Amino acid sequence: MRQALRALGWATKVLLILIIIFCVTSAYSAFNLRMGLGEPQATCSEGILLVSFPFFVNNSGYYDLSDLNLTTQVMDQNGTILSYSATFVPLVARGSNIVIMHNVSINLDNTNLTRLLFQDDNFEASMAIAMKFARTIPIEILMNKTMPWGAPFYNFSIGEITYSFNGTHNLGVAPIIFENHSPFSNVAGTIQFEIYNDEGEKVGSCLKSLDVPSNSGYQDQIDFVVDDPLKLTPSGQMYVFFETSMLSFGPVVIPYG
Amino acid sequence: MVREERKLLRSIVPRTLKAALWGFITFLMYYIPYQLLLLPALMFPEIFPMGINTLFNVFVAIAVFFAVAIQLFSGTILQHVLSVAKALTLIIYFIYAFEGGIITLTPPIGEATFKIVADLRVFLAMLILIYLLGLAKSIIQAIDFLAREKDQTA
Repeated sequence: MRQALRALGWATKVLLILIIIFCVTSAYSAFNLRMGLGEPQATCSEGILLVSFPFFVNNSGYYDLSDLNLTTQVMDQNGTILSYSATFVPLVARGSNIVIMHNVSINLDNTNLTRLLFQDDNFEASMAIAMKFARTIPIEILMNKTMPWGAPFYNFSIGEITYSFNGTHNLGVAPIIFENHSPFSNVAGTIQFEIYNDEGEKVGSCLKSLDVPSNSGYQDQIDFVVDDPLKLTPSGQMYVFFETSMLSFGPVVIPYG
Repeated sequence: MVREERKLLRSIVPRTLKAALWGFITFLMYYIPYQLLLLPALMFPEIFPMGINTLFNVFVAIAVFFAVAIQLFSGTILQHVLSVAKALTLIIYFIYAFEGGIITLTPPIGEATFKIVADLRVFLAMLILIYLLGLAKSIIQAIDFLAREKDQTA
């Protein structure tokens, strides 16, 4: 009986000491663990907005971090998932540093997202960092943030078309206006306009070059030669094709008249 | 009659003093190191909405109460009964304090919403194991005590 009691007493003491050592070293390791996201770099090409975050972990504690999984999800205000990205690091050994790039991409060519080119919105970005501390304690850090989205062709509109004759040709003139609310890049490229009458016959076309800096407005006019004045009708449709360094999409159909 | 009262008083007074001293030592033993350990947590009370200070005070109260009670009834079967009760109480306390092993913290940092979820079930299991060992020890001690009592009466 006494031996059993002694054994139980020792087992309790040993376990208690182990737990205390684990608690103290875990607390020390947690205070010496640094992780975070660096300055994001955004690029936009071929209709894909790519935001790259350098994710760094400095583990100068006593325990390894394993199964580190960084996931980000971007949703618009309607709850539509625009992007889901995951980066997995199998092991961050104790006393080591790692820096990995976490890429978040949004495909702007997606027809559902075309409105994001013309309307500002708020994105709900959520980030989750899951890992196993000391290979035994799963920890998850969740973060939600609302980020404003600036449309590169905000409030894009074409004014009333006016026609004139310059002695040789019939000319159509229409004002165009928009604001580049994108914080990431300039809108540089061309916009092609095709004007159709109410019977679907092509009346004329023109190409407009532009370079609009970030967070600035654009106001200009388009001039096009009317091929056949007989085809002119008071109303119709204008097909607009955008070709910029960021993306190319179209046609966006805008009625006139 | 007076002799019996004096005898009783002689046995109760030192026992009470010993229990009070033991209670005070237990209080110091738990309160000061834990206060130091919890200092970072107490500095940011908004991070620990579960009332970590209250939970800690309850823990100290349980420890001191049982330390005094066990000393007061030392040498009787109640000492072992109280040890069993202490182990059971602390097991329930830790399950409650650790929210079943999954702790959620929501520190307010800037405009973003943060949530930290730590799965401490392994750690909780180890703590429970310690108190289960203590429980087993107390039960064996109680059996040993009863067996000795029986031997002495026989």
